[in-house]
Amino acid sequence: MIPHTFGKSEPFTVGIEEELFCLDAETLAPRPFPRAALDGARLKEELFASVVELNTGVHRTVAEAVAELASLRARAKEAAGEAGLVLAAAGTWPTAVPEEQPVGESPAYRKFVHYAGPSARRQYVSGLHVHVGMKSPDACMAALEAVLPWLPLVLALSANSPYVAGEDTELRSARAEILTLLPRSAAPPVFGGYEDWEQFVERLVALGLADEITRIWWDVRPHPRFGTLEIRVADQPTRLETTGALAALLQAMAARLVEDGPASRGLYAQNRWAALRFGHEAELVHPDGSRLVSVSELLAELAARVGSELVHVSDQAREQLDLGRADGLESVCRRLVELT
Amino acid sequence: MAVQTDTIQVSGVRCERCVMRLGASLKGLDGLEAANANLMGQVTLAWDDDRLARKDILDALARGGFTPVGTPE
Repeated sequence: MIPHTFGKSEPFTVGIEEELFCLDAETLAPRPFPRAALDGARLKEELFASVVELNTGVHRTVAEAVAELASLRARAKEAAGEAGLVLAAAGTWPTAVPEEQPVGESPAYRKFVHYAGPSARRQYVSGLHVHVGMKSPDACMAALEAVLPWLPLVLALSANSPYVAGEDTELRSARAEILTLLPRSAAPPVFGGYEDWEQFVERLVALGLADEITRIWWDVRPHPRFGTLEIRVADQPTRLETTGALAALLQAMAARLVEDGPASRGLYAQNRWAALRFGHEAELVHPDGSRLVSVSELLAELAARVGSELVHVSDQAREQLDLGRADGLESVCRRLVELT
Repeated sequence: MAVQTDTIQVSGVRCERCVMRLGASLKGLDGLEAANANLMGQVTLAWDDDRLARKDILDALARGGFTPVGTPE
């Protein structure tokens, strides 16, 4: 049995993780984040040496979590600045060649890269991870199935990674496509319940395929150590305001959507692809399977269902593309640093 | 690079479909980071005032049929 903390904190409390790129202040090429500034809790290392992970504590409201993120961004920027570095938030770093980026020093990450090889070395991508507290393991599994059909919509809204290795990928979220190179990604399989999920994870660990549950990269997963449902589908937003808007929507979804049996993985795969290809301009299959709907129409329906008032999130991928086509990628990179 | 936030009151919101239309009227405004709206016609905006003027947001709302109430320009 995997130890868990479900029910230990108030249901629907929230914690947020962001992943930021660390860059040379002059050239804007990736550079390792200063290890001395990492504390293993609020500022943590990531797979690549030039990515730093920011982790908030547990908060009752997203506004409180975003306020902590603001101070964490400031702290990380200060540490970077002292070393002649800057930080930027986006789903990919537009000019970086993923396979050329140095992996961090963590033995666990190095072991993973040795195993996954090219699939791991291409993962130079950043996501927004939102944890929502769950009262029990069963509640967590029910919430997972309830939110799953709507997650491609969140991916579409968050798309912020059109460039990889200096090229327009013609995808609004190249990150979401790159993640599917990993062996356990996108939608989780259907489980018969929490115990079924637990046995699956224990089997992976027993076989030596995963050292713990963080080696599972589904778009949404139970996180027993934190007692949360962890929603990982979104690209890393550039502005904190966008992070806050998406996190508030995800918190409301986890709290208020009701499970209606296992969500269709077939529709999920179609919608996830459409979201990563077209972003805000995607047409998605309605979760009831009846028709194609625009992102704005589906957002309106979701907002009404979960009591959210969100009606607009900036189209970050299109903004990158517009600036890139007009002024080139260097301008895109400078803008991402400025907006972070 | 200052993000401004403001809550304004607009007329023209009568139903959830109106809220959806209001959201659509804001599409394409570069620098508008996020917007929330409700059935009472309250619209909360967050925008980057280096890239977008408040007046441009109000004009977009007005073009969509949502007139700001009590917000003299």
